[in-house]
Amino acid sequence: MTDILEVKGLKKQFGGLVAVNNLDFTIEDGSRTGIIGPNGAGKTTTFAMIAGEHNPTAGSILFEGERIDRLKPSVICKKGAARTFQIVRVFRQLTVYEHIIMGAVAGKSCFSTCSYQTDEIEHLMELTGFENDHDKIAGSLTSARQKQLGLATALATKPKLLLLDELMAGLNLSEIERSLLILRKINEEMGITLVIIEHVMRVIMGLCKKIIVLETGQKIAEGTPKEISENKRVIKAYLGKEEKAYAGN
Amino acid sequence: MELAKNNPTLINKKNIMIWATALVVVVAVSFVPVIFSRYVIYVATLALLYAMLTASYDLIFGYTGQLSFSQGAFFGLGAYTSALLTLSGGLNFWLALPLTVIVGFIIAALIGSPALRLRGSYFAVTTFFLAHFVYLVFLNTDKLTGGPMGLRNIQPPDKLWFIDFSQMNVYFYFVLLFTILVLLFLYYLIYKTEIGRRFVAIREDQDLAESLGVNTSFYKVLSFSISGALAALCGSLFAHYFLLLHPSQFAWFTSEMIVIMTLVGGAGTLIGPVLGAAVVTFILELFRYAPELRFIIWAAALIAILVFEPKGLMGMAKRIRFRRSQ
Amino acid sequence: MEIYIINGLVLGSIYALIALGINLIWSITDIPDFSQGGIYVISAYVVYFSITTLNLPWYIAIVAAALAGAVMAFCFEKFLYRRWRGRTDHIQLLCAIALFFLLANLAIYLWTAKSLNLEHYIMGKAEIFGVGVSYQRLMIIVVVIVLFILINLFLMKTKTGKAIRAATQDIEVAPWMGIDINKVFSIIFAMGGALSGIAAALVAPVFAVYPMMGELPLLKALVVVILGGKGSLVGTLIAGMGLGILESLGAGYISASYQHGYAFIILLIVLVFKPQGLFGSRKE
Ligand SMILES: Nc1ncnc2c1ncn2[C@@H]1O[C@H](COP(=O)(O)OP(=O)(O)O)[C@@H](O)[C@H]1O
Ligand SMILES: [Mg+2]
Repeated sequence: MTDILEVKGLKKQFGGLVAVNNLDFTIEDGSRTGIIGPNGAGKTTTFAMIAGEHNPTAGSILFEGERIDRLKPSVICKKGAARTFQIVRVFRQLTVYEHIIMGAVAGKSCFSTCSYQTDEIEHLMELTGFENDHDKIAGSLTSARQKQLGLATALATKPKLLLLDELMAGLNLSEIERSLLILRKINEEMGITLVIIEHVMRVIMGLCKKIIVLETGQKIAEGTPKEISENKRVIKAYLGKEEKAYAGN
Repeated sequence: MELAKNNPTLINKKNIMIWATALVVVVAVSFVPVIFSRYVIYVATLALLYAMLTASYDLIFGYTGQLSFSQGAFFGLGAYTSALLTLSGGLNFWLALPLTVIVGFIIAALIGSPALRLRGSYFAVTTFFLAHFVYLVFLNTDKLTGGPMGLRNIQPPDKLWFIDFSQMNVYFYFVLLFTILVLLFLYYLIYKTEIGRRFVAIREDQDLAESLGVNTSFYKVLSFSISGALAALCGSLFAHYFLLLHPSQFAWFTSEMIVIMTLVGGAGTLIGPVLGAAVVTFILELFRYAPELRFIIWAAALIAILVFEPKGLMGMAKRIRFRRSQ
Repeated sequence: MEIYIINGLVLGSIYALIALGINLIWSITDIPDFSQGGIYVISAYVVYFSITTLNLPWYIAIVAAALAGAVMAFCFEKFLYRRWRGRTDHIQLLCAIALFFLLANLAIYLWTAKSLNLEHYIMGKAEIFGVGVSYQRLMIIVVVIVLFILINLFLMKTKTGKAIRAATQDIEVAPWMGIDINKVFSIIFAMGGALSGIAAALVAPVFAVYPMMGELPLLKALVVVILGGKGSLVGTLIAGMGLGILESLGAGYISASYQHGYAFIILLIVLVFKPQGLFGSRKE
């Protein structure tokens, strides 16, 4: 299998604060990878650098063998790497349908009048559970639903790689189950490589074949769910206290 | 239904009524010069001109969400460019007009590309200064613009086919009306070609738009440039209607007034700003004999709008309709 | 040459002083407070009438101007900006501009557009590098530098100052740290208003008092904040002084008619070559 994404020596500094330091990892094409770590570990910052929102202070990012660090987010998206945001971001005044279409047309040439396939959009809405919400206003959805809308819209850009930042935060148990099912479909049927930041351990452990653990900007472990759950350092740094904190979910 | 889905914010079922109303208004408005006195025609022409100007502004502010205070500057640039092209350059007005539009577009693009790297209030402040800078240029390049003396002897548009503008001001009124319709059609095209969708995306959330593949810096500059070009078009018409130009006509509060008109009508609704322009122009005419008070009333009115009805006339109409349907 | 630099320092001090208040307000509340331009105008009239009509000594007049400025800014925040706190749709900025416009035109309405002159507070001149500089101008530079130091001490040493700095860092977290945001906002606005008032009082005898006097200093101060960087006192002082000197030199050696345009050109150039600003980052 080839690697779709390769991160080498990645570093990001905000003023005096080093948010990500000397980070290396690779993502295999078609795989499902989880990134975990306590708050402030630098997970979101890593996504932001891959997606082009932040320029790395040092290091390189290769997408399908090509350097993408320092490219603009829109260019990176057109190359096939899409993301969702940890904080809720939606085009509040659009309807759900318009919102998803925006994903389909955003990167296309501006002179095309119909640059999306209606049936593809419908299919996507069905997949992500928005089939009955065509005309709902995006701003009126609950924030958990808005995040799902973010997923649907990102999917509409037809990515090869999808970065999902705490997509499940705020979902209840049955919603998490549904969401897991959707992610599996996206990965297995559509062949989209997934990288997932998530605090809900069950999601990460059940879904991902590989897990990367960050702490204060550095990678402290990498391996299969089993290896990670047995790793002493990870347990000490993260699992021990966090598992308790999230037991209530 | 398909049309409604394709064009989110401009043309859809709900808006059809508004467009029908607009059409009726246009027809009614075209009778103004037939029925009323010279003075009423003058005010109506002024109202149309400002309506066009606010419509041009609604593209960058209402649709793309970039608060700019330089619309008056592009208006002025258009006016001076067109006047100078005809006066010093000896061009025919009908040639100077498109040239002016192109000049407006290019200048807006040149200034917009660095300035639009700034976001939100930083951009607004920069455009505020731009308006002042352009005013300084008008005031101080004496040789070209006549400086504080202004430009005189500007000629009405050259004869076009059988229409002789020097004979009747009324013709001008119809030219404006026609131009507004062309402008509305242009806006329709912008939305048809999915450019407008991107403008709206940028207004709603620039980072999200960028992450989905919208080249936000390009589209922001595009919106600013089209908006500037259209303001220059208004300026050209203004110059050849009023026939004399003075820097003070384009001081910063001209831009301010455009913003106020847009807000009175309701930003981002296109019809709203056009209505707002008409309403404000007529109200201002009522105060023409108390100019100091007029400015105080403007400012107080703007604050009152912000406090009580920030969505403007269109917002008010929507609310009333909503209440009735309850 | 020296004369231009000294004149530039005087101008720059005023820009820096207004910019200081605007910067504090901007970095905490996200409002580029255009109304400071109007406050500056009204405060100048307060000084003028305190001295001419009420026969008060000049230092009392300066205090009166500072108070007037503080009260105006305090009220604007309390009764207007506050109702839109947290909104990101420019509504506060529009209100601020409306206030600026309102105050300037109120001044025209009440006192006509003609300009009024005041005598220098301190008569006489000093010789610096062979150039005669009036004590009044020197006083401006000195007072501004002293004010910068005082405000810096206030922000660094006092409890309130620390709360303000915490709020600058992260407005969302501030309430969790037991900081009363309303109070911080009130203090910040009152401070900004007072600084504008003092600036007006200092220049009133040097330039004239007239309704449109606020426009240019306001614009320059806003540019100074953009160039100097949000939340940076030192950046504000350097950018303010720098702009003043450049303007003065430009007026002397290039063209005086464009003196008030140089700031804009500098701003554009900086945006092209260093979009993140001269001092630090500026991502909103
Ligand atoms: N734009 C920014 N400016 C300054 N500091 C930032 C910025 N974004 C993130 N940080 C800091 O970087 C660190 C890592 O943040 P983040 O990547 O969001 O962590 P995580 O997603 O793992 O919780 C945190 O200490 C955060 O405060
Ligand atoms: Mg995060």
